[in-house]
Amino acid sequence: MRTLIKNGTVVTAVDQYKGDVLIEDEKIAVIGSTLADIQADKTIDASGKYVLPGGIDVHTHLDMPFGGTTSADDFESGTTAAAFGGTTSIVDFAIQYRGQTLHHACETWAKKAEGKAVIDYGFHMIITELNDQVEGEMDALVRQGITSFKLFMAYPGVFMLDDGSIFKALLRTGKNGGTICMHAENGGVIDVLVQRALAEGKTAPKYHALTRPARAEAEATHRAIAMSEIADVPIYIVHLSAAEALEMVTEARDRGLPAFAETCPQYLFLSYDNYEEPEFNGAKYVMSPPLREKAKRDQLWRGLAFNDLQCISTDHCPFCMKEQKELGRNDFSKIPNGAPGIETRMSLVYDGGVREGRITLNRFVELTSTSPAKIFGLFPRKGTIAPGSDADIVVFDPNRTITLAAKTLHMKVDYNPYEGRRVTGATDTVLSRGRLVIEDGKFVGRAGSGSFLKRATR
Amino acid sequence: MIVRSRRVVLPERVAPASIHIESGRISRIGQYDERSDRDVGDLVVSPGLVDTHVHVNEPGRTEWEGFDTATRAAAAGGVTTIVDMPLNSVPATTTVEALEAKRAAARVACHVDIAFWGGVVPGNAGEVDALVDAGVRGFKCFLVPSGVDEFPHVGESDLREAMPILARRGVPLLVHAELPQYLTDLTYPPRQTHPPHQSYQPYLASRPPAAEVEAIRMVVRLAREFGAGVHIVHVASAEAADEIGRAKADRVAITAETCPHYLTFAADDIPDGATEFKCAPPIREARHREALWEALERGVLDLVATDHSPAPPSMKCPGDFLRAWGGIASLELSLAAMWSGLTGRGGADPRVGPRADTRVRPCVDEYQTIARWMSESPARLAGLSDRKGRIAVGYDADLVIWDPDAERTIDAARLQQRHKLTPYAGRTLRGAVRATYLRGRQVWDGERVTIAGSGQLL
Repeated sequence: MRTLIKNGTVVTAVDQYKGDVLIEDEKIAVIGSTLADIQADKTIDASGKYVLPGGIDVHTHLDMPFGGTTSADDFESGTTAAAFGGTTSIVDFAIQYRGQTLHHACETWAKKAEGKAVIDYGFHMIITELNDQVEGEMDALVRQGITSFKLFMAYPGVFMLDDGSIFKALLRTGKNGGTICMHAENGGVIDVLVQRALAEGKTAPKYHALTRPARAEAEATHRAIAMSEIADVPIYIVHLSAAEALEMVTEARDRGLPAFAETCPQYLFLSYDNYEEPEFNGAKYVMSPPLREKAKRDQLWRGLAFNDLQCISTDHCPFCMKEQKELGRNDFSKIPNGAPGIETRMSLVYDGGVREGRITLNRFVELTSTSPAKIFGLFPRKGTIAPGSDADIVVFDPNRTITLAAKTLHMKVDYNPYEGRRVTGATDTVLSRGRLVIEDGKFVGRAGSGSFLKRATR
Repeated sequence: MIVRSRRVVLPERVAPASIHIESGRISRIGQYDERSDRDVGDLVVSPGLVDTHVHVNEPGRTEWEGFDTATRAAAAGGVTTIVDMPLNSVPATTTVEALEAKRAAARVACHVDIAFWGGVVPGNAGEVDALVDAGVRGFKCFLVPSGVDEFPHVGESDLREAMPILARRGVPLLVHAELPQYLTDLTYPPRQTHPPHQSYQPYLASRPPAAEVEAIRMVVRLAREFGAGVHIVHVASAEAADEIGRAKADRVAITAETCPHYLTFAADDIPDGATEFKCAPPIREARHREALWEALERGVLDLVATDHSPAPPSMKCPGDFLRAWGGIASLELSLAAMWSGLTGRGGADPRVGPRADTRVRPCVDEYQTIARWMSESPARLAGLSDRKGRIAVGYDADLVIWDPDAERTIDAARLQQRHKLTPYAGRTLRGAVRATYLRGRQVWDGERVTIAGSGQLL
């Protein structure tokens, strides 16, 4: 099967040129200024469009139990929505619950994805309990292509690991080549603040943000980086939201340390002000870390432009207002944490980043695809358009304007945090390993055609 | 025409590939298994080198080097574009008239492509706009006496006149960063010339790192004030690199280069009377060499250029470091010198992205590192990054085909440069150029220039 994408502007993290791309089966075979002489079974005209490496979202929570309920998208609806938004690979989180083995968590999550995913998927492993046996399992997982582990410095009693365990896990990755991803918030401090607020009768959604101060994120970020420096291994800070935490990453990188961090669109486009929306609407934005001050968002953009932040992922973790977010109507601490975003990432970042002149087009590709691929062991198979790479390709129309709305988006959740927002730049056509998944805005993929991604070590 | 290799240095990876060339440009990049006109097997195909620091010295001092011999040396070294410095030629390139005189001389015999830097000297700020219009890629200035009367050095007041114009035109200011008040004048008080200054030590001590550091501080201050891009040429000390690192952390628009000789030699190894090692700033103690490598690897220094600056042997005054002309010619040897140095070192974490640079991505292996330092970043400095410095569709088909494992002992007599004087004589270097392609035509076959005069003025 040969597919030719003609007349587009090919954009990678480093290049931008008018050109054609020939796909043979699952791989990119040839790129050229013109491939008009080549016969193909299928031709896609990309005139006036960008031809981008498919987006890679390294932070999603599909079909995830949390706070007595389960995130609203499963692997079918979640990956379908991802594809609509121009994302062709995700790395989701499998969770080891206390008392369970990593192996068990692996099997559980493999079953959740099997037969459902429409694009390729990999897993990070969340470790909530570390002992000798689990350390041994980490090595086994790395060999199986699950090469990154997420640890929590927040949620004491549920997910949080103590510093000693965190340090042991960091040391282990020095030997097995894995990477530690860190949820960096000081859970002890936050829990005390939450209890105090509740005791004072402060139960509205906005107190979720007011009990999770930026400094608690900065402190944990600094501690995580310090521990990784002592262990002499890289570290990746997930969903960085606070400018104060970014300062810690920047300081480390200025010293040459392999400290990496991602942020998410919600921290770039929403702000604390959203918690002040009337009635219970603030619950839509309850996530951890919380949305921060509007005035500080520019510092995150600066971090993205200057490579202090390397990736933009979504932390997609949708809960419906009805029956899910409602669980916390009288107690913000019972509102399930998370918001939808898997489908809106590329358009939001293109519109607010590239069109607003905050980042270049190449940097957009780097942040949404190439750097995630490099950091998480998928490059050069994914994350670029080059001969031999997987034909994960997005035909992106930089001029089409869409209105974001829960009704028209494909995530299985009853609200959208960006409801009514108009963004310019939208996904037209998506190929995953050469197969059409979205064609001119219509879903033509198939559940189960996505494969598990065995990722490389660093 | 199609050239293929199992090791093609593409912008984001090294991979087996076929490079299709039409009308001097790269028209397609396909997989290795295509038919080809030239299969170079395991030889590495890198983008042709771009050397942004070359003193051709013609017209006016053609007996020192000249376009014919300089560009032969370039072709032999895999350098497909040189950017000529405004001084040591007579007239110096400080007016449009002088630029035209230089172009007229260059047209006679140029074997690689060539572009020109203009000069900023006291009183010529009024020429800057016209020189930019006439096509210079940026401007060079000296903060200390340059050694030739027709290119006087500038002070802060001169720069205050020129820099607003440079900022407005968006062209870089290249600075020889040493301040005169920190140098010791070895000629005063007059000393007995017998025995001559045979020892390297007094010369070294006469140009301390502080002269570099203080000059960089001034330039950074001005760059901040005027928003002009500055580039520090031939950084030679650890302290200077640190100063640049601080400016970059502060997000000043500054770039910097060092030269192969500062990365290869150390002061302690320079024998008495060996004036072929004399250059300014001087080759310093081994700790500086180590610090410069580290600064390059961290992205504090952006690129490597040769400061190819030959002079007749009589002027190099063997035995007398005081009277000898300073300058090292290494256009033909830079790739081998850098490859030998780089592969002789341990690797850093390849995922550590260069700091404070929005455009450069983490490099993934040593071939790409070389391409970034010696092709891509110099092309960007010279404003040529839309057609030089990469193997990518639409770019000029400038290629260097080389054997990274071949070792050879440098025989100065076989070099292409006019005067066969080099501190590399007798040294064994890894990496040998087997062929150089300029816009799709082979100009060097490993032994000799195969097509003469095909260089263009850019």
